[in-house]
Amino acid sequence: MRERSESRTKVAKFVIFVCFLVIAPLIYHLTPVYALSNQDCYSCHGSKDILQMSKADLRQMVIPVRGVKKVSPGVTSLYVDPTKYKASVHGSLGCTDCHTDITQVPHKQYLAPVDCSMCHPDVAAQYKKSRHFKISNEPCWACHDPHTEVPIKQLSQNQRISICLRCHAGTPHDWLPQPQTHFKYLECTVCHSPKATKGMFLHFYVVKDGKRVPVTYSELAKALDTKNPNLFEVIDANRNGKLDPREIRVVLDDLKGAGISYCGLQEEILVTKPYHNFTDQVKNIKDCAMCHTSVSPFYKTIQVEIPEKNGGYKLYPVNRQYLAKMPPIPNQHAYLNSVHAKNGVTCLNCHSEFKVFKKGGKIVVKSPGVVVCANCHPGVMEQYKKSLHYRVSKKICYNCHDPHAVVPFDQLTAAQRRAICEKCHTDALEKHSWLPQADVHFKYLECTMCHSPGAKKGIVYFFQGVTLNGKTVYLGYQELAKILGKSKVDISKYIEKNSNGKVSAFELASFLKELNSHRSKLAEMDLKAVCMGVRLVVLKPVHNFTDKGLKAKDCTICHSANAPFYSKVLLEIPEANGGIQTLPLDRTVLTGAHGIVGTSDFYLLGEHRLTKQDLEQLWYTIKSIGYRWLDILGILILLGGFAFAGLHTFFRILTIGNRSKHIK
Amino acid sequence: MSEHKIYLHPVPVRIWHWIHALGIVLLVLTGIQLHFPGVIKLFCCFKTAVAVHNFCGFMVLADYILWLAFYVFTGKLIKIYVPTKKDITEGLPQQAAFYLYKYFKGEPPPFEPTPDAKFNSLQKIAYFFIMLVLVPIQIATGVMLYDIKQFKPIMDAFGGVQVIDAIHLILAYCFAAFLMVHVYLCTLGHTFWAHFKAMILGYEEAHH
Repeated sequence: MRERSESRTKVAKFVIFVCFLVIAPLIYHLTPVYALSNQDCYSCHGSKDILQMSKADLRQMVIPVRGVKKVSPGVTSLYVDPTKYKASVHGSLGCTDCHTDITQVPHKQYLAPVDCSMCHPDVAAQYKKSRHFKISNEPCWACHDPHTEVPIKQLSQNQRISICLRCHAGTPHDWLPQPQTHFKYLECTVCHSPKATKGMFLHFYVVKDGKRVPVTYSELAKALDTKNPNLFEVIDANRNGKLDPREIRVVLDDLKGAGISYCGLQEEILVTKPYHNFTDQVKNIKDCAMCHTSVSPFYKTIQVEIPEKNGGYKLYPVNRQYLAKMPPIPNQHAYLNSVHAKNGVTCLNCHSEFKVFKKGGKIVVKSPGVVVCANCHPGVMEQYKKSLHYRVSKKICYNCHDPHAVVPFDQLTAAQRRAICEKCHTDALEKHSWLPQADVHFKYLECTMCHSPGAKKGIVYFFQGVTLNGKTVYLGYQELAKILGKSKVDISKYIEKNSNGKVSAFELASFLKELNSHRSKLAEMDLKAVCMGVRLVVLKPVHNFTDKGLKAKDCTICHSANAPFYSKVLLEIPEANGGIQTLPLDRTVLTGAHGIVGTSDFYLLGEHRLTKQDLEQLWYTIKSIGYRWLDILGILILLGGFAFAGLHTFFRILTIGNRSKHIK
Repeated sequence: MSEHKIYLHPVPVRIWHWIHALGIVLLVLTGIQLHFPGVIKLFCCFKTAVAVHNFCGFMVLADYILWLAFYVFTGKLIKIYVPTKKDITEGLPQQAAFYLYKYFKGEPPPFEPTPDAKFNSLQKIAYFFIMLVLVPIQIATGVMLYDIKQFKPIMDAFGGVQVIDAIHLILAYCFAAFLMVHVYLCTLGHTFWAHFKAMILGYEEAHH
């Protein structure tokens, strides 16, 4: 009996088991399939209550699963704020678009990991290759919360940094010079993601409670005194679609005018398109030259954030001139070419408080100290400290000159010299409206020609070629040697034939004539002709720029026989080693009619005046011609005789009728 | 209107004139070569040019003596060649006005030559200076340059060879220029060739 009942129980169990095997899938498949809406999910996950529930309570809400490996939640949470989710970059997606293994509610206790690569295959591929992944094995949501993620452009610098700091808080950057400065302007991936696309972003800030916060729409609109919803239209006064340095100044002035005394423009270097293989170039991360070059990756995009009425902001391009206002960034390659490097100045000569020590076999550099230019340039500093420029602006040496890239003064072109001043004085041309023919003055002069009355000045002639389309190009050693058809030539000796250490106008004109006679060589180089370029230059600057400020408007400083630059007229001769040599040039090139082409538009009003010296020279020339005057006089006498006979014949023919009438 | 001939240029004067003309032309041409040696080459070589120049110089000197003797002995020198006060105050402006203005209007010349007064006022003044001042100076300086060593003291008194040569040169230019004007003015006779014919044949055709 007992056996029968046992066998019945076995059969019943078997039947139930078979039923379960057959029916359960059947039921599962026959259950009407209805799509789960986000609202269905929010009924549990849309309330913060879920965070307060105990594990046991939570387990009761799901279909328990055994033996399934728990997936790391990363930065995600069981609570999903519906509003934040809606606003997030994934807001248009349904929950089950990512959580594909949820088909019914309640769902299983443990879910399969979401495969982000379904939508982000490139990012996933980049990340999978990275050391970051290989070592940490962290999923995407270890860093990014997919339920709140906003487009990267909307993330502030601090928000971006905070992504990394979750794990990497307190990572020392001891080796990095000026770490605080770097952290102030950069986000981590600027360095740690070498392949990411980067840009420079500016925003106007106001200081509130000792902190810099971006200016709001209402604050800015009030300051600009406008109701225009598009504030950039108001700011962009010249309608060039870009924010210009002058317009920045106007906005800051307006903010101060509206009673906001502490405001400014904050620069940030941000990643515009991330590259998730952060550490594949880990060895290169400490290569400062990645950013500290003249072609820094972030210089490609410079934009300003202008707040909008809805609380967000819109990006607008910034005029690249703004870069010139930035403090110089040390640049290894430029430094090696700088006057300092060439004179053997090393980092530590200036940055005397640099702390350099060895740590684990590596050289570690710590915060540079005060830089003192006056150690080597005491005279310049003394001059400069007296100047109005220093007293008013408080600018110091490296606000104008980049000590890490500065080249010898005589190697700077006029445009480069002017650029030093135009970093700040962007409206120079407009401010010189009082100056007659301002554009002509600007073409030939550098600022300090007038604004540094004590500087030593001169006139420098240089060789230039006229291209087929009429433009002029500077001719260096290689070009001149090529025209002359010589591989090696000492041009200065070639020009200065009599070796008296001075180039006469005749010697220069003869050399030019010879250069221009090599027609086929010129044609090979796409040149029409060789001519002289000329510029007035400051030979030795004096840094007390404005002590005679009013006198800068005195035209007769230059337009006089005693103009300072007349004391030196030089010819710039390029040398084989890439340098230049200057030889004194006869002053008559300025006023003589030598046919030294290219100087025809270089003329100083009043330069052609006759002087006592000219008369003396004329008298000397008359005397030196001496008896040869007789030939000149004789030729004039002959011409007189010839002219009389010729003119008389002419009138004789014209009036032939008069005489024949009379004879009749 | 009748036509008659005036015997203006006696045979000795004509012979003198053409020898003088040939001499002056050759002197000018060789002189150019001497003044611009190596640049202008009219006679085979410098040496030849010097020889021709010297020869012509002395020929002109001899010719000049012939001319001077003729006029001195005929007693016409002063009458024909020396300008009077009237020549300067009246004749000169009239003749200048004729050449520069009235000639073109077709007016007759203010002066008709006669054997005793064959030069108008302008000619008189010009030839006076040329024949009695410039030609003698040119001959004298030429002779001095012919033998520098011999005439050194005289030349030094005037400032040396350089000054003498300068005088000789500038006068040469003057003669060359005069030659052009002289030939040109000769075409202003009542016909183009009238004055040329007269200097060859002796007779000048004249209108009355």
